[in-house]
Amino acid sequence: MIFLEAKEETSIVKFVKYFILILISIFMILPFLWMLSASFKSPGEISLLHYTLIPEDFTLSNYFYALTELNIWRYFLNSVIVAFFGVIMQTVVCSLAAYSLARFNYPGSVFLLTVFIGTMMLPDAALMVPLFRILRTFSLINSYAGMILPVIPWGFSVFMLSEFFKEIPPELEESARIDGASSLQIFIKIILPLSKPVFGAVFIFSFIMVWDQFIIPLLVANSQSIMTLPLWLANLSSETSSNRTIVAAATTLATIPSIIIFMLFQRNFIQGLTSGAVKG
Amino acid sequence: MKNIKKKMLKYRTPILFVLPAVIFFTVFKIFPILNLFWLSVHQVGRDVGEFVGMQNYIRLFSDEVFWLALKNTTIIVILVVIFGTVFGYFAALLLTEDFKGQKLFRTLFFIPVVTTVSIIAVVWKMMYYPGESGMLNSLLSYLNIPAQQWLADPDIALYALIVPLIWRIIGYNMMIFIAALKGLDQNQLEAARVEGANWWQKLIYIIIPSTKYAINMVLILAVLRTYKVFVPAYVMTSGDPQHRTETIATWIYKQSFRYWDMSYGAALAVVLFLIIMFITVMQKKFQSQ
Repeated sequence: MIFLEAKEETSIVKFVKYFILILISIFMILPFLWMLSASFKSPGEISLLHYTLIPEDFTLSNYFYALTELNIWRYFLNSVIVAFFGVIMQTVVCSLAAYSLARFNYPGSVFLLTVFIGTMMLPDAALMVPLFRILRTFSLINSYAGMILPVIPWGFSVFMLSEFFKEIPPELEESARIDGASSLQIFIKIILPLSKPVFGAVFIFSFIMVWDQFIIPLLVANSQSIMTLPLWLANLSSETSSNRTIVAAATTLATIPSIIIFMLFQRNFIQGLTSGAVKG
Repeated sequence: MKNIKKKMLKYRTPILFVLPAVIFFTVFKIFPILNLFWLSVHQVGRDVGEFVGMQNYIRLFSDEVFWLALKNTTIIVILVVIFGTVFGYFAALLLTEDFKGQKLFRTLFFIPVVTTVSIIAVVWKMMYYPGESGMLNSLLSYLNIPAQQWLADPDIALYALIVPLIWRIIGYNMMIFIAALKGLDQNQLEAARVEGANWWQKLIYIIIPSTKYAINMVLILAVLRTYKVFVPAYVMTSGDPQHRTETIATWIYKQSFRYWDMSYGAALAVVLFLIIMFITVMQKKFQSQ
């Protein structure tokens, strides 16, 4: 360990270390274990006073019910639509702005960059009322657009991208400019290929941010048919009639996308997180 | 004037690039925050009505739930910050150096960070199921402790709400601390070893002081994030029982969208905004010293 010499790491120390780590691990994965275990139990079994982690009466009926009767697909699809358009539009809008502000020095560029990044500080919860009123004015309540458009401006994306664009040597663009390339061509042909790693990180953060959205769908989605997965699940869990085993199956299904995305992009994710945090 | 015009012309394309962002940031971030102040001093129904001055702010002083929510939120912040930072740092100390299983442990500790907040809140709510067959209650019964009401018990609910918040922040803090610990000056540690410092002295006099920046960072991020906490509280308890888990944000929501008193909701939101601003400014001052 970092504060111990190699010779101080006796087998007792090692044992204690693994013991503590395993204890913390159990605490960390307990909710997932519970969720998985409950999702395979029958409603009768989960009401037993005697708790077992491994279901004695293993059943897939909860998943079957969630997929067919509850139409979880519908809400999953709503979430995918919002995430897909939200992430793409956010990345396009924020990357163009970040490039322009990080690269060109025109009146107001520094000011705009500061303002955009500064909006990261605004708490969503504080903006609920004005946001709702704006969306209502534009008749965006109960529409996908109402859930997509507000996630487009994101200070964090502008911040990460502008930090990266600043590091690209300007000479690369100069020669292209002399050859008569337009700024858009330069951006697409020179800047984008160089920025693959940062775009990887921005995509993941952006996806998690949009997939995580709760407040905006809560304000926008009045009718159930348009609800995103998180909002629908929260409603499902507060209905007194809904069974714990079925909610567990639904939450298990809803957790899978985040876990897959994380597993696929773990490296970019952690790099982005620590660099963003340490720099900012 | 002419100069500016010429410059604008020269930078036509870059300005076009930034334009969509200007529109989106203005409509969904900058206008709302300015509008918030305006709404808080007007009568707001379906349309904005007459000017009511500081009436909503005066009302704050006699609103017991607001003070309770402020107290609850502050307790949440303090406990999440203390435990989240201590556990995160501890985990980072154990997991910075390579050993067998290190990667697996890191991943396990980090998974809560990437899960969806509201979904995780649903899972914890189910684990806190108040009947005797609830998961935590069944575990307690092994220890011969009677079943608890958890989220329904006014004395326990707030703490039951805090546990998942700590659970979810540990991995995030740990990653930042690991990055900081990796950058530790090995020579300094070596010098301390030569001088015969024990592990405790190394920790207190070298390791913690040299990761001061990361600690500061983690503390401030946790404070800022936790003050606006909404989703877990809304999903798990919606402020019940008897407002004992009410946070500033859930109270804003309830006032605005349950009682439809948007102008009072806006005044509450201004308070939340000012708290966040105050902390940010203090932190900037502290950092520049």
